[in-house]
Amino acid sequence: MKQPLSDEQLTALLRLKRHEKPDASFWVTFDSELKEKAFSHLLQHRETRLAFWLKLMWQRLRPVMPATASLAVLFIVISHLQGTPAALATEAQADLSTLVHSLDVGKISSLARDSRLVACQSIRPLTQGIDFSAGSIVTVAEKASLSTRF
Amino acid sequence: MAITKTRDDLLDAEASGIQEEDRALVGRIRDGDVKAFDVLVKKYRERLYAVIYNITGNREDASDLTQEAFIRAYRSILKFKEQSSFFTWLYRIGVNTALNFLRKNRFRRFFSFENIDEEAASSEIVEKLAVKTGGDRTTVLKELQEKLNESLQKLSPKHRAVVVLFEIEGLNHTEIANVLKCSEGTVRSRLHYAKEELKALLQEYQDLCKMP
Repeated sequence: MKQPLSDEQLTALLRLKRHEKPDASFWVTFDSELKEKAFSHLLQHRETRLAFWLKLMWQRLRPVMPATASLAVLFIVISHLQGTPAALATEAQADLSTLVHSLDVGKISSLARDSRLVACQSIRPLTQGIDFSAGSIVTVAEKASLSTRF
Repeated sequence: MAITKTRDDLLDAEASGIQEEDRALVGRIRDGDVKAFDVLVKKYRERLYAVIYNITGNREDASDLTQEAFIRAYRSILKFKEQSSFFTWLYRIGVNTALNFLRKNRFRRFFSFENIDEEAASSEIVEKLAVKTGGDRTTVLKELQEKLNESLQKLSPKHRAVVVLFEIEGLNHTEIANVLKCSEGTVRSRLHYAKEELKALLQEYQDLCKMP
């Protein structure tokens, strides 16, 4: 029966494994692969961090999302109902026309007569035949300015 | 005795100098100097690769795992507390990476052996074996390499790690205990068991290894 190996004999055999080495070209590939892996690991780490923060934000905002969305929709609807500036201007003109049309013609005539009494004689009476339709007030003012010149 | 003491002192001084150098490089890495890490990689890649290769028995896996170990070391550089040497810390990362890999892939194992340099072919053991079998040294060496690796792979990963660190890498019991984060007693116990197993497996080479 064979004797088992001694410690020294075993050591001598295992020390042969110290001669197992890759050649120089292995390390060239090793270094370039290591750099690639380190870089892709860095990118992955950054993406993971971004994904982490996005997930955290989503978790925090999710409970208030319906209320926030409702408020946003309400705001949009209100803005739409209130209209654009051009629409507002048209609306204002329409209101003014209505106002002009609703004026008491008799009252304005008497006011005009009174103003004629206190005005200088060069101001010709223009209250007769006053047309109070929309835009005619401007025409009256222009006529008044013309009569003062002559 | 005086000569031995001087030699030990020289070895201690050398080890101390290497540690100081490594600490300086670690300091530079922490300051953001990536090139300092390249220096450490070039310095230790062969030894780390050898450990991982001998534990896994597959050169392709060993290459990937060594790279992974370096990346982990870089990421964890701030956690290196300098209580142990940098190399012990790096070994620890490498061994853990290899052992975790083996744990996850225990049913999918393929061996792929590394080249063995011609220097081994001129060793006494190989010479005697070549004479005994009548074969050429290269063939004999290849067969011996295969037998050694097969025997090593029959050990459990934790026993294999201890044998690799002690017999092949030449670490002492204290250093192995630091690497494996276990007691020296555990290291000695595992080493004893592993060696007994290997002796039984490699019995056929008993005649070739007669020591003077």
